[in-house]
Amino acid sequence: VTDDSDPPADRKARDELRNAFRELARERVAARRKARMARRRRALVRSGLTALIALVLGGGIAVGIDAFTADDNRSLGGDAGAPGGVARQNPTDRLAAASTTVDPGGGPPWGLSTYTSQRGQQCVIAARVVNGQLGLISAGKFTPLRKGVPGFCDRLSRNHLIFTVRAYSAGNGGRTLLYGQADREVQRLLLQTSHGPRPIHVMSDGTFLVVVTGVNALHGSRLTATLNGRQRSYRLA
Amino acid sequence: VAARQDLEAFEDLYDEYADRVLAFLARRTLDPEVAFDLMAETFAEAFDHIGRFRGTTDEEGRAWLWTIATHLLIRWRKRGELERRKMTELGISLADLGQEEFERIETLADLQRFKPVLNRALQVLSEDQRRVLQLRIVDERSYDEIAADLGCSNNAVRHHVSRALRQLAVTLGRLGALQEERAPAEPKELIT
Repeated sequence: VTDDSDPPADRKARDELRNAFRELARERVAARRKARMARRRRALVRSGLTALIALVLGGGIAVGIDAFTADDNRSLGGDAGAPGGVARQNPTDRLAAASTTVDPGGGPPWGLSTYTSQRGQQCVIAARVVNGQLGLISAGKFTPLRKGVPGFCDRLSRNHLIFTVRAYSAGNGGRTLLYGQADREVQRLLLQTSHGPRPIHVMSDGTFLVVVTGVNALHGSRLTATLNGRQRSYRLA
Repeated sequence: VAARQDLEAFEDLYDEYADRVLAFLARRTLDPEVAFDLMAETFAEAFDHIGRFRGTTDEEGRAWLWTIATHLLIRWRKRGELERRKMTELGISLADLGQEEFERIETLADLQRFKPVLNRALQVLSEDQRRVLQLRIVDERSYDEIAADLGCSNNAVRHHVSRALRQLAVTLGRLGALQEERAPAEPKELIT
């Protein structure tokens, strides 16, 4: 049983923004460190320590191959239990989206709802689905999302794609959710993790939902969207 | 200053100043959603350009942060619309404000300070706008209570109040009731 507890409601958006900066800072620091290491390696090569470098690189390559062989290249969630992409009105005045997916730990499945914010932005919200209701599990008890709980919002008409990554901590390894909505301009979505690329199934209403085990399971991964034949790539926090 | 040396310390900078910058912007825009967007863009600019900061003291760091916030505020007033240029560039999207967070930012805006000049300012608003601001600011009623009185949803009331406040901000600016001076390195309206 997982615990999906949230930050204080009166600081939720502020804290989410802080977390986004935290992840971005970590990525930049890691990228700088990597670049620094690469520069040092090149300097070592130039100074004639080729044999030592070969030894270090040999170890690195062996580890890399081991990780890549674990890739099964299967399509991640988003297609389980889909009701044919027909959106329907649910009791919280939100449109229940087509995307639902199983929980990797065998718990209640996860689902997605969409709605339009008062500022006219397109919003998505994901949570567990029990008896057709979206909610979260805390201390073993399912609590439906209260009416008005904010989702993730952005301008779909301008960006063609809105998405967010949300992590729920606690028992059973925690869960990381990647979810959002794409418009008709987006032809393909690809999730590139350390195990290689995996296609994301986008439902006919444009929604998609991926659930994986672990709290920061998608940290450092990339979401690549094919948009009118061009590719846009996003780093995931 | 610390965040320039170690980007991972940016989180500490955010924790220390997010609410202060938010209060600074909320008191000038009177709109929690606009203030939050401008605050986010302020920190996004600071994050991306922290390598260009040449100051050596925390005081200079604060002044730099407030300069960015003021610059964005002026640009918003001139253009009348929000830009999320840096947020988009960094790939960060904002969550929608929930009711509790909306009301917390409204508290930071300290709307009660306008009571003395409110009567004059309210004259330029429509009757509906006057009514919701009377209920919210003067009578200090909750959104739920106002929604029940007016027979509409909580979100609709928030929308009406927000629109009326934006109009009020323009009027109060003309009356000189909004602080227009450049923010000091350590702003006076710090929330502690």
